[in-house]
Amino acid sequence: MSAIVLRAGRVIDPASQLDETLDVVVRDGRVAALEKPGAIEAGARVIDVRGLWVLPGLVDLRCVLHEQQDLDRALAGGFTTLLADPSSSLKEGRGPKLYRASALFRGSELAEVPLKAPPALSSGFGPATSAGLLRRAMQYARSLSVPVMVHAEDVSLTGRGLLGEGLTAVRLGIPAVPASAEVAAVATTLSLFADVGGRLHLSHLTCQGSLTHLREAKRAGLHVTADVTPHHLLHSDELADGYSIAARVWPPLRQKADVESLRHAVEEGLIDAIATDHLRPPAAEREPPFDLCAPGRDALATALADVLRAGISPTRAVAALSSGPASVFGLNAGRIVVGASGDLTVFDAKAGQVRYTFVAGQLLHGEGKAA
Amino acid sequence: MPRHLISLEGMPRSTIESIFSRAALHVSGEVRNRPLIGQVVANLFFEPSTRTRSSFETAAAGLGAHVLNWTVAGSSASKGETLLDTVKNIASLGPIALVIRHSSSGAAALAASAVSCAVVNAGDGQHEHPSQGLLDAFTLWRRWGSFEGKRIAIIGDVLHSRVARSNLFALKTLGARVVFCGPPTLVPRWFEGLGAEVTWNVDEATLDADAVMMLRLQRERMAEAAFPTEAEYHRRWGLTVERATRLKKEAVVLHPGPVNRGLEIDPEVADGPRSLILEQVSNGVAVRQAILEHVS
Repeated sequence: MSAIVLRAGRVIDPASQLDETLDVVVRDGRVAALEKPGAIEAGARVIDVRGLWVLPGLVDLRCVLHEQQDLDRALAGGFTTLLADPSSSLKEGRGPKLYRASALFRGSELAEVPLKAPPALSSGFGPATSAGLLRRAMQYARSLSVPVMVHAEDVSLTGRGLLGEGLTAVRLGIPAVPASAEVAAVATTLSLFADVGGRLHLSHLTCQGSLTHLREAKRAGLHVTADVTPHHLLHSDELADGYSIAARVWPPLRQKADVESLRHAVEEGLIDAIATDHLRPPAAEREPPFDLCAPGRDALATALADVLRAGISPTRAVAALSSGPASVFGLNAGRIVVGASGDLTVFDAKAGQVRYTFVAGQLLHGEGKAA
Repeated sequence: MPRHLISLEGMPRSTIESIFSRAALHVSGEVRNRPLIGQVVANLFFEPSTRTRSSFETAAAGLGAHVLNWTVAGSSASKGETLLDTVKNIASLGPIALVIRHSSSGAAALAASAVSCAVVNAGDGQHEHPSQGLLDAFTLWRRWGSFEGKRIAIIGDVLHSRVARSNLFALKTLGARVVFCGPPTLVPRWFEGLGAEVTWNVDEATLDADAVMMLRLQRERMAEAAFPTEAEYHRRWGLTVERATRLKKEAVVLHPGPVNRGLEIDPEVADGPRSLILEQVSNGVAVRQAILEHVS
């Protein structure tokens, strides 16, 4: 494999607080050097990336993968490491490095855990059927030293709800989900965790109230982490105006004040990661009317652009999509340092588009990629 | 571009008033011609309905139109044909208007986006029921002439009521004040954002109301534990004989029907001198005639 020089890009590596114009030399699938622009590498392919951002390959903690197309979307979005949701059916594919979260539950029972421990046990997009079950799952996971990813929701509060409670839901006549459906479940989950211990990660938080509980738990020294999605950072419940099915996501979109508080929490680092919740339901199910439309969002390809559009600063956006999620589950990814795997994303901030995605030094997305 | 009637939110006052003026001519029997003769009006009811469907049917027939009735029973909707497939198929038969009822909020607007004929919303989920809103307002307009200074209390399961939303928008546009009342489980404060007053105190809502509209209680709300028992609902939120005696002297009582007698309203009140319930039904035909003319 020939070497590559990414010439004179804005190299951002949040974990080392690096943000400067450098050449990145990639050799044998690894980052070989970071140098002042002008690096000379015999036989290397030089790609001029002036004016572009050179980032650690992005890392996603929760995506549902069914087809090669999902992996292609990931590459188009600059993702080089994925942690697939347990509901994923994809077996093999070409593209990003693939990890799999194992299911936390099977119905109202604990799910079997593969002998080779997965990076995490996840409840995906649905909650435990009872607090008792969740407590046992946490205890069991702790004995295996595997972190748990929890979708916090009290379904007795969700009811038939489809959109966060607020004026939009009331005006459109769409059944609403009170914030407490999440906040109460977050509080329950955290108190179980304080009791049981281990490692807890809270998935796709959407409400101000949840952040209050998270902040308190972190302050108390609990080893808890949390993520939000790009769409909950970008959109409020008002996206549902006109019954737009773009707003049909799960968990539901929330009030503007919640969106603001999520943005703030990402910026200050209370939120550790941004996870995409990428999920493309079959086209026939992804149709209006709103209440009959399957939830989901084709999120991987636009995640970074969406997060930046939400007003998150570049450094925090990149951190929450790379080193942040990698460190949540100890994945070896999300860094640009000499010796690290050549997982790199070149982003055109002006166009809001990923120009090149490299996995282990191989160009898998962008002009001139390997056939 | 066909004209539709999807919702009353944002409908200009002048449009409402012109529909009223036309409906008044129908009520007084001054419309002698049959403007829709030779035309087809298609009724598409994905949800069971007898009253609204019959009212539209009578209205269309009165205008000389042929009525095509399409209901879920015996149709392909139960075979998984989507809403849009069905709507497009019926629209291909060339009706001048589709009158559509569906359990999904937003269904009528969705249908309107897919066909080239007019669409009249006969109830979409929990969103709106504009012909009902117009006929309720028309009934009050006939009695009062003007809505200035009038206060209308709408009581019951407002949250799930498309009738309440349509009434709110029409009555506000016409200059009335609207107060929503019922148990807090069914009347969230969010409605204030739409311009309604919200109170959970039924006396506060009714004592200075010029009209009281009782909503039909959907009995399945009991299962959702929105209130303890039907008896309790009747006592606390129902328009009882005792409560009716304390209304303003001239206050009138409405109900979109069908009435749960002895539950949201006592039979003596529903049938009493204040009641405009039967007038609503007969006005319904005239208003729907005016609506069909408006969109065609």
